[in-house]
Amino acid sequence: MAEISTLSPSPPALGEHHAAPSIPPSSSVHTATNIPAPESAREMPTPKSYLYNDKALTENTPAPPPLSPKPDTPSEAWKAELPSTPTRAEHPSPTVPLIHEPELPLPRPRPAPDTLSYLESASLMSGTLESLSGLGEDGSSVGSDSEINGMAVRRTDKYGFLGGSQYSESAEKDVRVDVARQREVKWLDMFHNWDKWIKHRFQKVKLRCRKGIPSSLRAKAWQLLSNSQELLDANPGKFEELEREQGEAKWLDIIEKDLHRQFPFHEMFAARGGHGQQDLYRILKAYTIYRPDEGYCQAQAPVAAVLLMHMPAEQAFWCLVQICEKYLPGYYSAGLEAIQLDGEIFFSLLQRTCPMAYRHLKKFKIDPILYMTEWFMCIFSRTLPWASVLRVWDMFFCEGVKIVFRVGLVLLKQMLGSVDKLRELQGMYETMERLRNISPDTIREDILVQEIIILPVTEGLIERECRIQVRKWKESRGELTHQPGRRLHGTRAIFEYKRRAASISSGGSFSFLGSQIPPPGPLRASSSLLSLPGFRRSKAPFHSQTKKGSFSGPSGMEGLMHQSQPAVTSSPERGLSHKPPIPPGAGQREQAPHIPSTLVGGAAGSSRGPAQATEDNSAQGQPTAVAPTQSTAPPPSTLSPSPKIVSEQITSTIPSPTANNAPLLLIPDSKKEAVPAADATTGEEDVKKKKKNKEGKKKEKEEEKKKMKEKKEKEKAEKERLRKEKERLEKEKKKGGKKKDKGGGEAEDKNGDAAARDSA
Amino acid sequence: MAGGSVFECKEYLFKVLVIGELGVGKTSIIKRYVHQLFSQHYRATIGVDFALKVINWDSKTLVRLQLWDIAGQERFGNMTRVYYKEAVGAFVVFDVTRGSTFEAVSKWKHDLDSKVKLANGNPIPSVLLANKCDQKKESSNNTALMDNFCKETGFLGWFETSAKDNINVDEAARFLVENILANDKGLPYEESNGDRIKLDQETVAAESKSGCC
Repeated sequence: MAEISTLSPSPPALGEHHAAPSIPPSSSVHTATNIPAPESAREMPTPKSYLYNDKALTENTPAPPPLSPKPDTPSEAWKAELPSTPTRAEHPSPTVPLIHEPELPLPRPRPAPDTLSYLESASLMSGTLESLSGLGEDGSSVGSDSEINGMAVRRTDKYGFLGGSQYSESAEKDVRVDVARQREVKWLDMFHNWDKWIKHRFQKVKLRCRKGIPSSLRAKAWQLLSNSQELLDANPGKFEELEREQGEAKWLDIIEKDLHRQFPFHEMFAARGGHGQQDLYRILKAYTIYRPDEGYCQAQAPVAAVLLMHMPAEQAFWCLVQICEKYLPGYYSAGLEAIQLDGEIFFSLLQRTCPMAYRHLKKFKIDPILYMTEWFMCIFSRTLPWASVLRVWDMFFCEGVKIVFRVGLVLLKQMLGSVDKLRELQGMYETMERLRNISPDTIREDILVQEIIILPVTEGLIERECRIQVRKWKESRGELTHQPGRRLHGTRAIFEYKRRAASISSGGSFSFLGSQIPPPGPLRASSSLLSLPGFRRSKAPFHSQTKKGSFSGPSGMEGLMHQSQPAVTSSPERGLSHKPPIPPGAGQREQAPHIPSTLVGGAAGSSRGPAQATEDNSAQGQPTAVAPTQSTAPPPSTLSPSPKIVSEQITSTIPSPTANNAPLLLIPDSKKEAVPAADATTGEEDVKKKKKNKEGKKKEKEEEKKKMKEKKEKEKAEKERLRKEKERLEKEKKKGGKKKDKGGGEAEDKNGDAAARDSA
Repeated sequence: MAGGSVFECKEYLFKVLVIGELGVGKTSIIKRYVHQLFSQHYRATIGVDFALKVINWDSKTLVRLQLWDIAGQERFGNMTRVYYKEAVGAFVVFDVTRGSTFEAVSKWKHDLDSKVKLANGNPIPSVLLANKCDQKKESSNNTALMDNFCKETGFLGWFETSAKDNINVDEAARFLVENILANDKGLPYEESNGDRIKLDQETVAAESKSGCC
C-alpha cells in the first residue's frame, strides 16, 4: 500500500472514541424533552466527519497523556485520505429519509401512519429519544413512562449504549494505558506498510487482531483488513451516485420499517430519524441499488449499524459490501441457502468439537437454524456483550468466517457442554431460552477469545465439511438455487485474491484482457513485483480450484485462479477454500451464476490521482474494460443461468477490485463482447447504458449456450495457453526476482508457513 | 393447577406460531401477551424468537403456550418449514394501517397450511389478528367482509388487536387455545403431554433414535 495515513492514536483513557459520551455521534440525540441543561450542552451537534476522524483526541477530551507517536501527520493524512467524509451537511436531501418521501413512489396510496410518524419525527431534524426510559433488559422494562426523568441523567456506556442487554455495566478492566499506547503504535506501523505486513507477516497481524484492535484505530483497521478501503478509493463518487438513484420501493419500504429497530438502545440509533438511522437508510438503500439482485435482507441492518458505529456511511457501505460478498457470500441472498448450509456445517462441526452439546440438540430436535441464524447473519452483534462483539469482529475481519463458526461452537460448548448444564435444560424450549439469552457472565471477553483461539476448527475443515453438506443438500433437496461467490477466508485470502488479479494484469502477457492498461501509480511496480511470487505460490493453495466449478462467483476469481493454475485441473469440483490444498470435490456454492461484481464505477479507477493509487491499481484499473465482460459472458460452468442473473442490474453495479479476472475464461471471443459491454458500463447516460446492456444480455444468453458446448474444449485450450503464459512469467520472475526482491523467496516461504500454520 | 387436586391436573404444551408480514407487530403482540409490556424499542426479529406463556386454564388444566415469533421478511420464508414443525395453532397478523400486509395474509395462511397439519390431516387452527387498531383512521365497519374472508381462507376468526393499548390480545389467545383444546379432545390422554401432535413420522422416528443417548 502506497500510503497509509498516520493516525494518531487516541489516548487510551478515552476508550471508545466513537462512543465516548463526550461526543455523541449523533448530534440529534438531545431532545426537547428531559435532558438537563448540562447534558444537552455536552451534546451539541458535532459534524460526523469530525467525530470519526479521531477528533476525539483533539476535542474537549480529558485526554490525560498526550501521546501521538507522530503528532503532526495524523489528522492531515487522514483528512487527505478521506476527503469526502460525509457530513450531514454534505448529504442533504435525496438520500435522507425525511426528504425522501418514501410513500410517494409506492403503489400504496395510503401512507402508513407508522411511516408518517417516522417522517414526522425525522422532520424535526433532531430526532427524538422516545421514552427511552426504563432501559431494562432488551426493552422489557422500557415502556413505563414514569421513569423518563431518570433516564435523562443516564449516560451511555463507553460504547454508546444507553441500556438494553448489551449495555456494559461496570467498566471492564481496561487495557493498561502503556500497553494500549504500545499497541496503537504497532498498529500505526502496520498501517504504514499494510500490504507488506499482510504478505510477509500475516501471522503477526492475525495475532494482533486476536489481541484486540485498539479502539481508536478500529475503523481504519477493519477497512484495511476487509480491503474495503481499496474499494472505496477505487470508486470515488460511487456511493453518492448510488444514493442519488431512486431505489426499489419494495426494498425501501422494508428498510424503513427496520430503521428504528436496530440497536434501539445505542445512542446513535435510538432517535427516530436521527443521524444513525438516516445513515443506516443510506447504506442499506445504496446496497440494494448496488446489488439489485440481492436486494435487502433484514440481517444486514445490524451489521451495517455496527459498521456505522465506527465509520462514516460511505466507508461503512464498502465495508458492508465486502462482508456480503467476500466474507459471507450468499448469507443475505433470497432463499437464504448459504446460511442454512452453514447451519448444517456448523452442526456437523459441533459433533466433532462438543459431542455432548450435539447430542443434546439432536435429542430435542433443535435444528441449527433455530439458534444460529441470528448469530451468524448478524456476526454475533446482537448476541454477545459489546466488548466481545468488537473482539470477535476484529478477528472476523482478519480470519473470516472461521471465527464465526468458532464463536458459535464455543457458545454451545459453554452453554451445553457439561452434564450439569444440561440437567436443567430438559426440553427444547428451555434449551432455546438458554441459547437466546446468553448471560454475559458466562462469556467474559477474555475467556471467549481464548476459547475461540484454541478451538481446532480450520478453514480446511470448514471447506471439507462444506463439500459434504453440499452433497447431502443436493441429495435431499436438489440443486442449490442460488450460488453465491466463493467465500474468502479473511484478509489473507482477500489479499491473495487481489494479488493474483494484479499479477495477471501486470504480467503484460494477458493482453487479451483488453486495451486498458492498468493505471499508473506508485504501486504499479510493486504490484507486479509482489505478484510474481504469489503467482508461483498460488499453486498449492489453490490446488483445489479446478475448472469445473471454479468459475463462479461474483468476482470470477475462481476463473482467474483456474487460469493461473492450468496445471492443476484434475479435481472435478471447485473448492471454496483456497488455502490448504483441498481434496477434489469442493463446495458447490460457488457455481454462482449471479454476477455481482461488475462495474460501472469502475471508471473510477483510472481517474484516481497517483497519490491515491494503491497497490490494487492494477486490479482496480481494469474493471472498466474487463468487468463488463462478465456480464456478457456468463460463467461457462453455469448450467442454467437464470435470466435474473444477467439482468441489466449488472450495469449499475460496481466492480469488485478483482473483477478483472473474469474475462479470462472467455479469452478467444471475449474481446469482441467485452468492448460493447465496456462501453455500456462506462457510458454516461443511463438509457444508453440500459439499452446496450440489454443487447449484452441477449448476446450473453446466446453466448452462454454456445459456451457451454465449447466450454470443455476451450478450457483445454486455455489451459494450454495459460501454461505457456505461466512459464513465461516464471522466467521473467527468475530473471528479475533476484534484484527486485531479495527477500521475496524468504518471505514467500514464510507465507507458506504461515498459511500452513493457519490452516493447520 | 389452582386449587384442584394435583393428580387430576393436566398439562398441555402447545406450540403456537405468530406469523405475518414484517413490521406488523408480531413481537409486540407476544411481548404484550407474555410480559404485559409494550415498547417502541424492539429489535427486528431475525430468524425466530420464542416466548412462553403459562396459563392456568381452569382448575384442572395448565397450558403452556410456546409462542414462536417468526421473522416477517419473505426470505426467511425459506426456513419456515423448520419453524412450523409441530405447531398446533397459529396467529396470522397484519397491520390495519398497511393494506399490503393484509394482502399478504392469504400468502402466509397458504404457506402455513401447506407445511403443517394436525395429526388428523386438518389444517392447524389459526386466528387472524388485525393489529395496530389503535391507529386505525376511519372507523369503517367491515366486519362482514372480514368474517367472510376468514371463512374463505380458513381462519377460525379474527380480532382487532392493539399490542400498544392492550386490546383483544388476551381474548384472541384465549379463543385460539380453546380451539386447540377442542381439537385435543379427540386425542388420547397419554399424548396430551409434550409432543402431542404427530405431524411427521420422520421426526418421531428420529427422536426415538436419538432418544437413547
